[in-house]
Amino acid sequence: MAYRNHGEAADDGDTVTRDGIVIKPVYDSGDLAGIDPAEIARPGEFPFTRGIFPPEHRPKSWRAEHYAGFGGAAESRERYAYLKRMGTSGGMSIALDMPTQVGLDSDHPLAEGEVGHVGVAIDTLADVEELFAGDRLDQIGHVFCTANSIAPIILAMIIVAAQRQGVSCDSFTVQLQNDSLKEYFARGTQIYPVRDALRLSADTIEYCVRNLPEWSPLSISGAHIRGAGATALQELTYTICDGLAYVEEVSRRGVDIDTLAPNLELHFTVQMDLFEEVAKLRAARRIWAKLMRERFGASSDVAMAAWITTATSGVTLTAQEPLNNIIRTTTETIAAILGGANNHRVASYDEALSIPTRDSAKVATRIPQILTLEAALTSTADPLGGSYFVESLTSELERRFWAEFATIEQRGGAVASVEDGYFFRNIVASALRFQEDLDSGAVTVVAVNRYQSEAADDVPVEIFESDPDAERRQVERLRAVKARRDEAAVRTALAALAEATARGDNVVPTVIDAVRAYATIGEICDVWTKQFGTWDVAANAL
Amino acid sequence: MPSDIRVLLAKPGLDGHFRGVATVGAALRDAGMEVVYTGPRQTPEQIVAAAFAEDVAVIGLNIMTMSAARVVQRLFDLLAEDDAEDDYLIVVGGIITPADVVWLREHGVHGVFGPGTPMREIVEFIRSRVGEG
Repeated sequence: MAYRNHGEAADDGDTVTRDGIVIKPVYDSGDLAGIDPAEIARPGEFPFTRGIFPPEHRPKSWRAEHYAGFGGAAESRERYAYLKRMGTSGGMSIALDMPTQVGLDSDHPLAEGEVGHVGVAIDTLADVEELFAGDRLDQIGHVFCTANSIAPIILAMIIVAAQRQGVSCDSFTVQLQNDSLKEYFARGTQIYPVRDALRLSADTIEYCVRNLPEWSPLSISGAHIRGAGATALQELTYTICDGLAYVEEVSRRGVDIDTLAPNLELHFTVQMDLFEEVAKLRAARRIWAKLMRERFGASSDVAMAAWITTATSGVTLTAQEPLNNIIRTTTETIAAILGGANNHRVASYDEALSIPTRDSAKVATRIPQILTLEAALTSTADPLGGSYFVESLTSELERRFWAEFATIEQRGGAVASVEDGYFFRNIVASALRFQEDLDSGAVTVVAVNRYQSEAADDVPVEIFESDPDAERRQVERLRAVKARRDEAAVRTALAALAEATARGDNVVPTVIDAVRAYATIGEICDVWTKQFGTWDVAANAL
Repeated sequence: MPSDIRVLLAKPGLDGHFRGVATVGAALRDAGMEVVYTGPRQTPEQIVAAAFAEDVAVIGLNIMTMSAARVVQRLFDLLAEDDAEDDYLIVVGGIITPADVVWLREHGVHGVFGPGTPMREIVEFIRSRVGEG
């Protein structure tokens, strides 16, 4: 059924979500009749619809981290320090530039013009050492990084950087995104064929679970799937299916589910349909808990309870009247809080124009602070629990999830559906439908397709200017590191990595040795592309 | 309303986001144009080679993560090497800073379409500039 908003409600008052779910003008107790009360057990109890913490163990403050990075390591460090002074929690949340993410060194011809542009440039261990040259890693406490195709390398760099600081890896935590599957159909930093990327992700997860049990080696990410055009239901479904592929692969290697699952998180975006987002997060926890228990035999609560990180959406940010985006990210943050997200990232209002300025980043940090400390949104767990509407919508999303899940299972699960472009095609189709609705006016985006102002009336906002010299400095830095490293040690380490990769060993120990010898990310990825080849472009044909 | 307008849509640089280029491509096809999509991670050299090979009238660049001015300058330099800098309608879309928008317009890019541009505006722009074949 086609999307219909309140302004175009049918005669009976019904509206329709983007997933075709009919929303009635009012819900009542009859709508709860079909819902087993066990599905909405107290927070902290299976299936965790109402949240993962029992009331007596709720964290005292809500975690809001701020994702950042640009230029070289030293410049990024200055921004992290500023954000910390503004009160962000969650340690250092590192955005990488595009060349780093796709395994190219800063002096690669394809990297030209992109070094340090949308994130920090990392070529060698020296850059990571520079990132952590201010506060020590145990003082920073927690590091998050959107490393996906290169996750084992960033993991190794952080481990060696800690060793060089004389800091125990038990005294801080690291979270890697490491969700390589979604890159192929949503985010676009894939390097190798799908199954080889899955293997490297699984190597990273397995290494952490066995050696660094407090670290979080996988953030199963729906946010980018949604950002690429998916509906809420597609985001929910494809994310969880991706997650199962990693759990299956690592379980196959003999890692116990009760050891593995507590170290994973689900990462969703929150868009503007507030109640749909709340219901999605609640449904995600319920579905994940059932899958961990029934499919993988998890027995502990922490293995079934999904920790959820949310992020406000890039899709809903507009270049027109950018200050309106503060209202949008605020609304989305309310949805994240009410949906029981455990950790949240807020985008800055200028991100449809450029990467954030210092001031726009500051406003973004203020939003969760004001909502939790002034508006008291976190005083009780799951405040919408028991709502006729929200419970009904949660159960409806779950019902639709299982239907599509069965289809994906029949097609061979997430890996097959990534490889043959099934997820990609469905997301593109949703993106096209959304654009048609935007163009026809069925969807309203204020100041974009309705109530537009003259461009001249727009409130001017300051735009981040990237340092045109950052690329040259980074390339010089890379050359200096290469000039002073022990070339023979690099060759030996890379040869050992190639052998371990070919044998099917977990690659992380040999990556650690290569990183310690200051091998570059590009050199390490070259070892893998020589063995694996590269991804199949045809799956992303438009 | 089929037309003979052939459009090359290209993604220079390393960014892999496809929502914008996919929706624009679909809108142009719906309007009867022939669309050739290069896929992501293209160098300016590859894009110019594709434009020559595909005999297109329009080159559309989707730029999200890098300096648009720098890419376009390189593209124009390459076209000029073959005296082809006036042979194409050049349009750019994506996340473009206001300073780059000004630069692109001043340096001969015909259309710059940022986030939120209605598809019909892009279709009509191309049709009015290139005509029906």
